[in-house]
Amino acid sequence: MNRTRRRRARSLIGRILFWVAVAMILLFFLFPLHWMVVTSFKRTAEVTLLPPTLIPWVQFNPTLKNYVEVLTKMPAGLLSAGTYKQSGFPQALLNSILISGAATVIAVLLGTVAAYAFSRFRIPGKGDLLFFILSTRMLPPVVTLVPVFVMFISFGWRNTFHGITLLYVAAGLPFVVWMMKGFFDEIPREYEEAAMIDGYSRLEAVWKIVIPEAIPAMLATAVFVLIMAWNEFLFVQLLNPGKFTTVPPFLYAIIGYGRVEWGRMAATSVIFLAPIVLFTWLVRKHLLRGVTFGAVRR
Amino acid sequence: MSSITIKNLTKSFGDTIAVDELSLHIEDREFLVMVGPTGAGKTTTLRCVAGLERPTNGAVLFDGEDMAGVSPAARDVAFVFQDYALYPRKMVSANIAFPLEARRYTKAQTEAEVVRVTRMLRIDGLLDRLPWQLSGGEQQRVALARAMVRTPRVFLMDEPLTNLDFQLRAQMRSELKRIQRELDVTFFYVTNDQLEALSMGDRIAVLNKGRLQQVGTQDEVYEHPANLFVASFIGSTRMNFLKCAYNADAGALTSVMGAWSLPATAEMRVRVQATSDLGNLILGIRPEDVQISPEAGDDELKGQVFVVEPLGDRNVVDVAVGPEMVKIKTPPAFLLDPGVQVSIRFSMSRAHLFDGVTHEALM
Amino acid sequence: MSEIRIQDLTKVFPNGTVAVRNLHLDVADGELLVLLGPSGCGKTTTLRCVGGLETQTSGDIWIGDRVVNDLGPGERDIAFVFQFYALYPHIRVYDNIAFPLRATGVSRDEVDRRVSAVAETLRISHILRERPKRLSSGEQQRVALGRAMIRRPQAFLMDEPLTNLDAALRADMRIELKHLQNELGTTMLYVTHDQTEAMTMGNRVAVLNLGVLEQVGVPLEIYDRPNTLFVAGFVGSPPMNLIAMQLAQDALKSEDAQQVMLDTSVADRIRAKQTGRELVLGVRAEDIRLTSGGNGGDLRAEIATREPLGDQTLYSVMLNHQLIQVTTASTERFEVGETVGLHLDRSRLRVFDASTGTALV
Repeated sequence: MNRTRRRRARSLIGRILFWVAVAMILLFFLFPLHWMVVTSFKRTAEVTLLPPTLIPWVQFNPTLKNYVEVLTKMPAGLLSAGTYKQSGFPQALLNSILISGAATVIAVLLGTVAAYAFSRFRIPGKGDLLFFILSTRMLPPVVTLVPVFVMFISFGWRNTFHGITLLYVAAGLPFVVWMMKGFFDEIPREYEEAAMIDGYSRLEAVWKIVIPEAIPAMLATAVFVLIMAWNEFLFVQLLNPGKFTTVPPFLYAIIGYGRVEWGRMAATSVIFLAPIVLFTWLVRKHLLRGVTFGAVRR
Repeated sequence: MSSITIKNLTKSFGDTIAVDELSLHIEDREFLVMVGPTGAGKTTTLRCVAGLERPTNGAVLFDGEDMAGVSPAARDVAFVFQDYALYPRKMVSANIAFPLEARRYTKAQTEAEVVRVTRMLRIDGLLDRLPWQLSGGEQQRVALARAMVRTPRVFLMDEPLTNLDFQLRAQMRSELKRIQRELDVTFFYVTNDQLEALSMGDRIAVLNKGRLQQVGTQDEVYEHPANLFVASFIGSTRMNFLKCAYNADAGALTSVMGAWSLPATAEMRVRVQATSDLGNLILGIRPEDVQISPEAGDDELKGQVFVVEPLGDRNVVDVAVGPEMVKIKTPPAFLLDPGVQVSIRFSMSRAHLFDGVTHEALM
Repeated sequence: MSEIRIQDLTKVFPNGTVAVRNLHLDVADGELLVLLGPSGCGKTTTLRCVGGLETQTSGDIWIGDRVVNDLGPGERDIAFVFQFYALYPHIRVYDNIAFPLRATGVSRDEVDRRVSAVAETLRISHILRERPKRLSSGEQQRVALGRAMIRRPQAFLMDEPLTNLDAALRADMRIELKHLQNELGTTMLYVTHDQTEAMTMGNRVAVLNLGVLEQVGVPLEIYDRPNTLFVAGFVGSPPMNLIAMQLAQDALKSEDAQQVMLDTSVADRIRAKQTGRELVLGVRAEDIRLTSGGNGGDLRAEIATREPLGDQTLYSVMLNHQLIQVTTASTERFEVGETVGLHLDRSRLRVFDASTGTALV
């Protein structure tokens, strides 16, 4: 039947166009990344060459010099030629990991527990409370910059580990509560009730039955909180300029002085990217909504 | 094994009263079916008995002992949910073993009980499947097995057969009844299907809008419904209701719409005195108690065929008598076209009379 | 109104499942044809192919006098009524019903006229100003019907529209739908898994199983003379009793050597057509009469359960480790454990070939 053949031909063209469009979009997004990675393997002089060299080994010789310097020590600068200074990057990276990590863990745990309560229990004024929680996300964060700064000064939380971590927890909690509440709402409460009938207390029932269901959602939520904390710049730059600074302000500081070492900066960025990419890749399955692993089909 | 006494149970959610002063006693080892339309309060009642909801007022007693403040686990009941609530990440064997683990049975004991119960329900071949791999009927039986694996005092079942397709439902009805007899345990079963109620229950409790309408055996609720609601709800084809008034001089019931007039039986003439308004009565007659024929007789009502529903073993013919509709059960060979004129006759000795205002049964 | 012709329809899904296999079915103009079968039998897939929501793998679909294979759902001039009504939740009932008309640019007065007419037929004139949220399921159902009816399509395709209603409401809506269809003379293709619905509503019923058409005919024919074992077991509440038997001269012998005597002519017919020794006797619950004491009937059995259903009583009797269902008038009473004799109505028996599943007599 030539009707069917025509239909199939039309769908083939459609499919080709589709993949061409996908390729173009991917190129648009991935090219800057590629540039950055390639730059991190170049000597400073090579970075600004025109036309730009994009393919390692074919167009230029890659070097690990930037990575080594960024992680250990680097030339102190033009004026102090011959001396070296410690790279501040490893400390900043460690701070980023610890602060963002702790904030994510705390926010997800607290938020999940709160979300469960909102989902299952009848709380007077629940609707208002939820709205209140959500409304904190409606404010542009920069509006709270000055009050927070003043608050941190009076508490003596400036330049501490716990201060900035708590701030990130407070920023991430609303998101966690909303995501996890929606998720718990979709899990029938009959599971816990069946477990309670079977002989467990509510706490045990939740731990044994509900939490395993919730872990994928918690991981997916964690990714978003982690990314938020990891990339946060404005507040941490203001509140933790000293020993407990994280990578974003550190990176920014590098740019400020005279000639920029693009190669080293690219290396710094690549290293900074790595943990997030790794974590996201590890939990990628759980990021797909609708992946209800092991759920009962009806 | 225990009896359940529900005393003046009231449960409200905000402004809605789900259960209203419900009092019911379920004997030890009895199979009691609570039946009513959706939203009648049956599930809420069941959940209060299970301890999953706290009553706003009233009490639930097991063997005379007040269960207030007793957790669901401590009440030692088994609950079969409408959508089974099988733990989705656990295999069938783990699902069934779960209650025993909660009560700290040893591995050996647990295994023995799981085998016993799965053999009884003929699901011993499914032990290592996950719930999503099972059919509806299989899931149902796993849920049952999980309930049966302990020996609870009471089985609570919330419309467990609703999601099954109709062949399976018929099969499970007799199986459930058989299981109850074998286990010799109290069953408190809730459903919106009156057929299930009639076929399974030792006694039936009819609920509507949170209030208990009537409780009794099949015969009692079918032959002697206490009010209009029970009469309309129980019975595979709904009872016919016709508004009428009692004419004392003529000793007859006349249709309010004026379409007919029938002589009242002796019993009717007596019972009708109990009502406050003789002009506001409802005559109830079941479809199988009405005769239909294409020829006309003397004291018969006339009507027109509206629709004929062939049900296989019988037909239900809807006849329009004036502005009212009367359903009549006929043998399957009886086929008429819509629009045909017919005459119908009521078996008055089998008729029911209801008060038009209170809807209570007068006889 | 027009007819629907399904010719040699096959639908294979990408994962290899054959949902419908060489289906050949005609719906006459003005007929209500019911597609009946268990879940997964292909009835919904067939309906969706007719409606254009699925593309068939092969086969032709005719609506009226044209082949509609290449037309989208909007161009086939049919109306679909879904299981979940799919009413637009935030606009009034009036606008819900008017929606399809407004899409085709009909004048305001004409729209008003037609909506009022449809609303009156469906008896929903009093809720035209309401929003779907506030309506009962029965009313929502009728609004969905109204939205389908307003365009005066050539045919209606209905996908289990009554499944979500309460038992009582379902019974009422069945009658209304049937009456409506009678009056308006609309062609309807109706899908359901509820055999009671199929029997009461359909002018004809087509029974499907695993993508294959088992039998098509008027309800009473499907009920009285099922052609295959599947149809026999599927249609009828309670399902037809199916008992394994073998033919020995002029009698059917059961496993425990009990005999059901047959007419010689009937026995000969069976002998001529059977492909093996195993047969299945099909007899409906209402075609068996019970008598006290084991003697005098065709078969003896013991009462296992008794279910009083109001206007009749349903007994299951144990015959050879098999439970047979028998319905009697509620005036007859037998006790559980009692031995009874079963008298089978010869004119209503069916005998099937156990291996092919087809009916022999």
